[in-house]
Amino acid sequence: MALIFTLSDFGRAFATRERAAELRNELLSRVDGSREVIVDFSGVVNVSYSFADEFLAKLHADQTVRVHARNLAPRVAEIAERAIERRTGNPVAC
Amino acid sequence: MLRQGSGGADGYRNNLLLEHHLKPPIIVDASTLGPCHPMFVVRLRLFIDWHLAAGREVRFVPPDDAVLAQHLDSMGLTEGLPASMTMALPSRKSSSSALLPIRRLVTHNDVEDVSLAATEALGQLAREFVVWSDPVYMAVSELCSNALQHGRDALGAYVAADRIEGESRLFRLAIADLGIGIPEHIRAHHPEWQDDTAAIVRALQRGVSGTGDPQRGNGFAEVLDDAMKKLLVRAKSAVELDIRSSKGRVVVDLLDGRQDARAGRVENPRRGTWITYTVTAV
Repeated sequence: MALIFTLSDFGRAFATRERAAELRNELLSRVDGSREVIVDFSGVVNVSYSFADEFLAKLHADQTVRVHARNLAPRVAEIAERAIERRTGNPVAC
Repeated sequence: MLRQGSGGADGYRNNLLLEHHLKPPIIVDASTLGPCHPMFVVRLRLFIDWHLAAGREVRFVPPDDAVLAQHLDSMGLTEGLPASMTMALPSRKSSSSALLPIRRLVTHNDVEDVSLAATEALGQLAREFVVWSDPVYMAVSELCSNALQHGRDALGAYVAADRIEGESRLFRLAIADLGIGIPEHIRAHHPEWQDDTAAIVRALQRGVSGTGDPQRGNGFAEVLDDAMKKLLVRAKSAVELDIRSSKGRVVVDLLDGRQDARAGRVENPRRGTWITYTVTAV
């Protein structure tokens, strides 16, 4: 069963790599055998490119878990897709 | 004495020296000051904090102009300072308004807070300002993150922003830190770039970073790309990014769908990094 990681539990906007690294570690600490994670972006109004790269793109790149993002605002999806594509070389639709 | 007009234009033309030989008490006389750029407000607060941190007495003489005093107060210039340095509030209102009062950035939570605060403040304004919100979030978050990460100075980094409405409509953001500066940071992994201005130009390119991670170093490029797509194309605005660090200066202009970078004149080599990001309705 997929783990659901709700970002709005931690804030409405995310700007820094440090914050992203904290949240990535928090997510990975909750995985507990599950290889599939759904990151729920509902309520998240904005993210920076650095945050998207450090959080979402690194999760995609290291492949410890399979990550799916859902409920992204158009602006957030645009930035997340750009960051993932740059880090992994693969286009992803968020 | 801060000369009349010394705070205007780009906020750099004044004598706010961070030098230990200045004898206390240091009197910052702003009585004849005119309109101020947010970079001037940032520099003024940094000047005061830097000398206070060194144990020097600093006295502040507020502007005679009630409108300017109101503006400096709304920019938070004397917030948190000793009572002897605060200003009496005049009653009139300024035509330029603080959008993001001056804030010292010490932790990444501060960067999270100011990034959201700046865009929420824009979001509460007229529609013409609201369309600037997303690219401004990108600019504030990336530029402040850089200042905090690469600054590595005990004072942290400082940020402030204002807006101007009237014949022209502007958003002006100023960020400063007293850290090692962009050129030195970049040279940690690219020692070949000895010229400071050339090092700043390189830092604007994708994948150039002082961290050694080839996937990092996209912050400036993202800020500029985002501005090109969202501000020039959709919001018919122009953007200027002015970066000064050590002996280098680069000014990037985005206008009419074009991006031009030019080496600026360095009046006084300065420690740290000083950045202004200006959006203008055209």
